[in-house]
Amino acid sequence: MAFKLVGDQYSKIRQARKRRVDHLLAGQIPESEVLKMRDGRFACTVCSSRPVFDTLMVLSVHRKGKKHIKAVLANMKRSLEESQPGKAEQPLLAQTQAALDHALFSSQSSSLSSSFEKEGDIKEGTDTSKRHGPAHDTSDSAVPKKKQKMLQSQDKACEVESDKVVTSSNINSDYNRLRSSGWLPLSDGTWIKDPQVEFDSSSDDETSDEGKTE
Amino acid sequence: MHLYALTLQKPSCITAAVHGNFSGRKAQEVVVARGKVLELLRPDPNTGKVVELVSTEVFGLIRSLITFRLTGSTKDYIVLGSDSGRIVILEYDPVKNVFEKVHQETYGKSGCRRIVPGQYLAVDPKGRALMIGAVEKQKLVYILNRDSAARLTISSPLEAHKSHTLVYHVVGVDVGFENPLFACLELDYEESDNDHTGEAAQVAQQNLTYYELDLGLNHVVRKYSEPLDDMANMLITVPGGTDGPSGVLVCCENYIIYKNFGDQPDIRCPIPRRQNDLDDADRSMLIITSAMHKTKHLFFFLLQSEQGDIFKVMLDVEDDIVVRIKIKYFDTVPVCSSLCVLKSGLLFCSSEFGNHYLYQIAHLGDDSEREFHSDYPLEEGETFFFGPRPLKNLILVDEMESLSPIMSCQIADLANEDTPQLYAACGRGPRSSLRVLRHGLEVTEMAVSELPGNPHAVWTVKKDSKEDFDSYIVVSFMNATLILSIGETVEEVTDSGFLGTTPTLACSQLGDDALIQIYPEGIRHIRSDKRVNEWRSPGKRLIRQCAVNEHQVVIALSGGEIVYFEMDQSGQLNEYTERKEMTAEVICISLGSVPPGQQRCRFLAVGLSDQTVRIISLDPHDTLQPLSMQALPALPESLCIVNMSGNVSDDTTVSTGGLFLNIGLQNGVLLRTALDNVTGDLSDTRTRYLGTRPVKLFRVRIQGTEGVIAVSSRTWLNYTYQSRFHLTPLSYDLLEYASSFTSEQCPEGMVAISSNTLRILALEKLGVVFNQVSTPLQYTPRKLLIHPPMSNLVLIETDHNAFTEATKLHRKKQMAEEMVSSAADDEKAEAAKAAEAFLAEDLPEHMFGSPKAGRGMWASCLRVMHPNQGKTLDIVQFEQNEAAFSLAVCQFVSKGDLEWFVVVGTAKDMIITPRAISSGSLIVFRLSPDGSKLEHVHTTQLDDVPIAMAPFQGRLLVGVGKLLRIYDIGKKKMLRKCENKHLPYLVVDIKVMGRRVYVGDVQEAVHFLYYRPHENQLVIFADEVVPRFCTTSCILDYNTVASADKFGNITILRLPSDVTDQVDEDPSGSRSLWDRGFLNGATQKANVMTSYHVGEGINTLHKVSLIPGGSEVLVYTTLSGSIGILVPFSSKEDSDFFQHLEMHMRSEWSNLVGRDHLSFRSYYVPVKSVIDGDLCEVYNSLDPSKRREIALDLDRSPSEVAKKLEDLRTRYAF
Repeated sequence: MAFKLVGDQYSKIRQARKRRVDHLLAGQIPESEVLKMRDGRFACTVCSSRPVFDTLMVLSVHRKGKKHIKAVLANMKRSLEESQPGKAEQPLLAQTQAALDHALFSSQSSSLSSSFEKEGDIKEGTDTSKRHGPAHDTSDSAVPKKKQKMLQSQDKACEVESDKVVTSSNINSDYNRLRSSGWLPLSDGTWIKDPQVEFDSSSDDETSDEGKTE
Repeated sequence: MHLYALTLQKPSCITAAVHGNFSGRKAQEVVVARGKVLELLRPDPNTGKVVELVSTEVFGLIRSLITFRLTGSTKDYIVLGSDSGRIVILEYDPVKNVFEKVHQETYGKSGCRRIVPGQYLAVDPKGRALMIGAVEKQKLVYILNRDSAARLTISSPLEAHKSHTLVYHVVGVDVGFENPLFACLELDYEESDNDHTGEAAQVAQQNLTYYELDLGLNHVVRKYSEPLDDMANMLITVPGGTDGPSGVLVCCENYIIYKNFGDQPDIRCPIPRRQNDLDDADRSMLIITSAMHKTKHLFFFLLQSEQGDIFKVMLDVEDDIVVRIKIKYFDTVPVCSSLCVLKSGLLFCSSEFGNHYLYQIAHLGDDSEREFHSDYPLEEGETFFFGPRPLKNLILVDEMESLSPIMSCQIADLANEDTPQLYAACGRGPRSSLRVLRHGLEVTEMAVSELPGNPHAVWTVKKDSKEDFDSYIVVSFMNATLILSIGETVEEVTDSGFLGTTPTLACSQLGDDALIQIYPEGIRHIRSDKRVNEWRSPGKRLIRQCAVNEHQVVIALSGGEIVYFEMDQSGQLNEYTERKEMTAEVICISLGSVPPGQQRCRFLAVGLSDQTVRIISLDPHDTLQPLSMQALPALPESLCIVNMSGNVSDDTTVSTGGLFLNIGLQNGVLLRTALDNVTGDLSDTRTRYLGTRPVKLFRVRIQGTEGVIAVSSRTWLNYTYQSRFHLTPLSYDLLEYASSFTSEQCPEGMVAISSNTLRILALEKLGVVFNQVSTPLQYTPRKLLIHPPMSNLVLIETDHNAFTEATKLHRKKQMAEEMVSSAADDEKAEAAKAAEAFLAEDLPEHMFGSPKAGRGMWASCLRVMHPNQGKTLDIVQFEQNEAAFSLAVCQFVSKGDLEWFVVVGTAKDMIITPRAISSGSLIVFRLSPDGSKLEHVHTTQLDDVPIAMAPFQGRLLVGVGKLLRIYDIGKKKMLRKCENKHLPYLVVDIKVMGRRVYVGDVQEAVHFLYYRPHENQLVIFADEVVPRFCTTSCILDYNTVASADKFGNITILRLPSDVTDQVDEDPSGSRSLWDRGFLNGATQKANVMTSYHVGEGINTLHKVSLIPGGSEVLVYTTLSGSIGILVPFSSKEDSDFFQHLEMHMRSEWSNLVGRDHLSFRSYYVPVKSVIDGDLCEVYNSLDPSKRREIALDLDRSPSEVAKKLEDLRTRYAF
């Protein structure tokens, strides 16, 4: 029996190069800003229209574009406004939101590239970690750093309020419970009923209690 | 992963049955085909029981079966049409007890194809030719003859093809010794195919075509064809030549028509219908099966209709012309696939579903039952009416259990017996049942009697060796012996000669007419003339152990001394001069029985306290000399030497002469060692763990050969049956002592002691793996679940084309009222009486069938049962046309941990194809805390039929059509919380582990979903490449699923290690039409680990452990009633060994139907990583020379190979 050769050495090199590029691109994109879909495509979570792209290459091109940068700036403005003292008249809500954000971000803190490493196989013997570090630092925009600063300030806010014990797991499980019961969270911290989900007539009380705790 | 496939229970449905004289003697036998198993059954005319003589798995699908006999011969041959593309003629060899292939002719490709013959077989009644036909186009005729050595010869095939023709039935016409003629029911579809309007198809007519084989010119001619007015489904040959008028009976819708050549006009007779039938009056009636019985002076036909009614049909002949058909109602039996009338007056009915029956034809229907003639004046469309009644002409003689079809099965130990039981919901329609299957032989208890005190041993003795039956039962107590005589009644006797004031160690018949009793102080020899010789034990030493047979006595005194006695020609018992001193205390001794025609048994086995067993010779020239020894892993408890040669072709048996030494150890292990009957060497030990208590052994007689009863914490029986050794537990109370017993009422039984009672037992169903306890159900069971806290069973039963009880009652009342209102005034009183009688009439549906309601009419119920008492605790009847399809027993998080709910998914007015319903619903019931009562909570409307349900994280997953939804329980209805719309066709199976959901689609294999509570989404993250028609699945671990499909394939799928379930749905919520992804849409695909074709549609899969302490296996059950397992190999060497063995078997063993084993197991998809254990076990039935060759190739001895096969089976199952 003779075995046919599939492709040639050049095609192998091309494949390896493409994989390497994908891996590098993945390293630059924080996982919190990308949604990986079940059919292998990617969606940008920063932009409110959630555009969907076929490959990481195209996604990274989008991230350099005008619309995306506009959305990023808008997000920054919003988060700055929220952290300002002007919101002091609703301090509890602000605290809840901050704690929630902290919990959510901390649970998804792994970078996109680490998930890539599980899937793909990087056969080149290059030391990727070194390349990772500087590339990650330099190419990233100011946003993550600012976000990190914000997170730190929120952390402190959390620590101050020590008499109310709010663990991330509690918030997570309550969030999950409400979410899986069919409630949708709004950006102002309230919950509305998902129109796709059915409810009992007396289930209004459910969330009003939960929304007000913590 | 490599698996080993084994069948535990053969298929029990019968697809075809034929009768004849296969062994060449006068006895009539029946050959049955059970899908892929061919069996020979013999109904015993004396006892009336059906005995299975031989059963062979053919590893192919048997499609048709017929017998033929050459002119002047006394023996019948069997012709098989199968999916191998070959016609096969078999002969039964009664000496070897096997089917042997006489001829095998290839004519086409393998597989069940439309144009390749194999579906129909017809034979010339004089045995000169046979025709094998396909569903379409092809028919081949073979001429059969005998050569100078009287062997059967077969010619090359002669073609009788006709293109564009569908064939409905083929029979051979009896034309005496003229050219053989075959009649076919055909339909020519050429015009219908070419006509695009469809009108030609509406008016298409069937033809009755005759094909004549011209023996002189050696070709087949299409002689004559005539169109039929009504659609026909069956033809029946009418005896011809000198025995009758010849011709055929054509069974059409509602009519039976007699047709013949020449001047014979067609005679039409309508098929009688039941009076006051609840069935739709416009529904036509078909004859589905028939049998013909011919004697010297007359012949008659028994025809069975769709409802199960049997009619006796006779033809009135004048001057060789048939003038009328006479038809009479005979009896009603369950609907059959075949009827066989045997010459001994027995009627064998192989039921379509459910148990099969053997009846005795007591009367030939020559009674007051009204007879209808074809020349009675009747309008077109009218028919005769008769009243069905219980059996009058037939007497039920035997019933053969059949599990087919197994609709749903659960395996669990609900009866707390250590071994799990199988709860199988089987059957169809009113003949359905819930059967509890337990591994073990069924024991029939003939008599039980209390005994005073604590008996510890029992024996039976005959007064004279010429007597057929035992004379005394001797029961030994702590300090006395009771002797009972066996006769009309069992009474105590005092004059038997036995000593009743002392306990007995053994007793037996000695010589021809003497008895012997051994007690601790001595031996008592009782002659026929009542003279008694006593031998006293010396000094203060007592007899501890003894062994006795017809001529020899061996006793062991305390201190390890053995004394030997032998009977001489004059009947005197002489002590051997020397006594043997053993090196250790003697714990047990055993003598074999004296071989026929010999003076003595040559070997004595002695078990000593130094954990050894020694074989000592009793030959005259080396009496009491040691021959061999075996070291034991524990202290021996008892020994038994048996001769189990039978007709077992085991290598060891053949080489050592069939003598086995069974050693029961104190740690509950049974050792079986072959004892060479020449040298006395011990070899080839097989070990089996029996239970927790020391093993005691007793010799008994089973079917004329010796067997061993081994008692530990459970009673086991070791016996030979159909050339194989079996070690099977008994499904009975624990016995303490057992002995053979023969009497007039019980020719081969056992007498045993169990907890102070004396029991007489009989073992009738040997060779059966499971014993069944059956509870009847109302409709066809669909799903069966266990309610975990109380271990009750919850099941749904649904039937299509059926009425509910309420509707039936209503209709009956309506019909009764019509009867009265339509009668003339002067007949009102009579009509009222008739109406009353009609309302009071109650024909049990499991015999008479249930009335057919019509398309879209359903009857359904929900039942809670106690699993072992078989009692229905609660039943909920659904409305007419509401059909239950799915069931879940679950708890809801929102209701807490204490309440259990039963959720039933139903559909109303469902039409099966194309699938349409008027509405679907989820009906929720609350189970009472004791699990016995159902309380309706609420009903939720759905827009499609819910076919699958599964509890999921405190809520319920429901497959509604092709949508997968999560529901939570609300106050007034079920609340939909989450939905996935991306499954392709229809959700038929749901399994859950953690947050993963494994969904089986009706056509597109298994989909893997993950539930993300954070987004409240069910996301498909992986699926499969190959389309599979899933019926059920079973989770093996988090990444591995076993799935079965309706074509009989089992596949195991595994997600590769790099698959992640953390994927998201499209955030925009909808999917663009043009972007469907590829091959069902998920990027990640599961790999196929194993694939295997079983051969029958599979309904359930479970991963359980079948024996206490055994590892888990994958158990499957099928529609044909078979149960099998797939067992994982634990080492690579085992897997390699069996793979090589299977390879050898494929090349060495010739398949009975000529099917290639590899291609059979790769019927749909190539077989992967599964070794066919049934084929490997055929190794034991090969010729010794072939066995040696194969074993040599595998670097083992034949007995080692046999041992490995046995070990693998007993390690996981039985």
